[in-house]
Amino acid sequence: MTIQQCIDEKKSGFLYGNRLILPFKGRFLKVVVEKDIITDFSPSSKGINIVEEDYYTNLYFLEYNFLRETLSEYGNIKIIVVEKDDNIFDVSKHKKIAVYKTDTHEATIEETEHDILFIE
Amino acid sequence: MLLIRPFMRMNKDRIKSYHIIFFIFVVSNAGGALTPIGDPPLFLGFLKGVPFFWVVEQVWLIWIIAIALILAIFFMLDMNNKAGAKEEQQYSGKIEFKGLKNLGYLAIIIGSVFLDPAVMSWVPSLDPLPVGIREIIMFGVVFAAFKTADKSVLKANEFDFGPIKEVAYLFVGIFFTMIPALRLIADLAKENSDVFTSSLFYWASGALSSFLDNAPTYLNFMSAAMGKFGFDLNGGAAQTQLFLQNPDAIQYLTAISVGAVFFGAMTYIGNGPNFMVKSIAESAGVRVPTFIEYIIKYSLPILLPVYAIIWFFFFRG
Repeated sequence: MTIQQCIDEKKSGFLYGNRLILPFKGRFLKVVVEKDIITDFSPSSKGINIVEEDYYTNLYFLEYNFLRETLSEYGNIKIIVVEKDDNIFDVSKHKKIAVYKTDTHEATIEETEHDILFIE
Repeated sequence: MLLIRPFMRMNKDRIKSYHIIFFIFVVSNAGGALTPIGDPPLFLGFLKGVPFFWVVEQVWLIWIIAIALILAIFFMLDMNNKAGAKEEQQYSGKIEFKGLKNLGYLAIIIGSVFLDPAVMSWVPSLDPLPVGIREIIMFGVVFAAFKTADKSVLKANEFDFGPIKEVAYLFVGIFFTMIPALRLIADLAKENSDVFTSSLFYWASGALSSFLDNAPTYLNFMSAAMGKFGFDLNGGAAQTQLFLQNPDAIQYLTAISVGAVFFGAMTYIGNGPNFMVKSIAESAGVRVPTFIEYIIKYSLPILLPVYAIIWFFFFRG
């Protein structure tokens, strides 16, 4: 499933501990959680480890124990990501999304184009 | 601080860390030097009997020069930033207000600032309680505003108590650790008030306001300045007004006011809003300098020369 399909179909991800599970695969460029701006996703990164499975992606936030506790009611995890098949060098293909916690482990995924302020 | 989001939104295609820094310089600090509601030290002075419009009468020229110099430096830096310039922007032409009722809440907050027994004699004092009528109204308005807020607006603003909590923790720490330093200053100021000049008042209140909270710093130096003329800061508004009839006293208090307000921009901890602006910018994805970087790359090379120029023309001596 593409990122756009996930957004259009309002697919949810999951938050377990320090793990965010996203129902798509993509090329990650930037993640903002709280005041942490994370752009290093290399294997030696102390910020986030990205582990891809067959049709979804795990993001392990290494400096956080419980993401659900970190996020406030209106807070979110902001992500800039590009579809696997898109050209990463075409800025117009960079998708800005925000992930919100819910009352359960589910995490809603929305595009941030209009209201949410997210600087690339 | 309220303006940081619109400011970032306006510049979203070209924003750099220096935009945030200059916002802190101008909007969060130096810009507030004109009235007692612009910055807490001036408000404390107002509560001690400094007339409301006294500050703007004394400071307007200094304010214009300082702001013009800082903005000129900003303009020179910003001229080289062409990011976003080629992109065609589409605007709907529609102006929409969301959460307009909050302006009413804001008006109540600003109005309640003046509800102090020292300013309006009919306002009851709640001594020995640590809060007064003003604080009760303010907390009530904050609670009502939060409870009646439009959830979609809160979500769009990513409302979070995080930045205010961070500032609260930080300033609780600063307030506790600054007590000995302030005691020392108060004693030094009292003992050596005869040798205090407007230069010393300007630089000393500025240097301390850069790292400690500027409100108590202002009060300590105001107390020292009044002590030079045999007046007591806690002697009531009448003493302050008598003090301000002396031209030297005007010069001293102007130096203290400008030093306390302007130098609050020298570090992130010089003024509460600095940290909140930093926090909001970071959570929107804008990387801002670290504490040391801020001082070395921005406040020392930009602000210090500007403040030295202000000192040279207005407070030398």
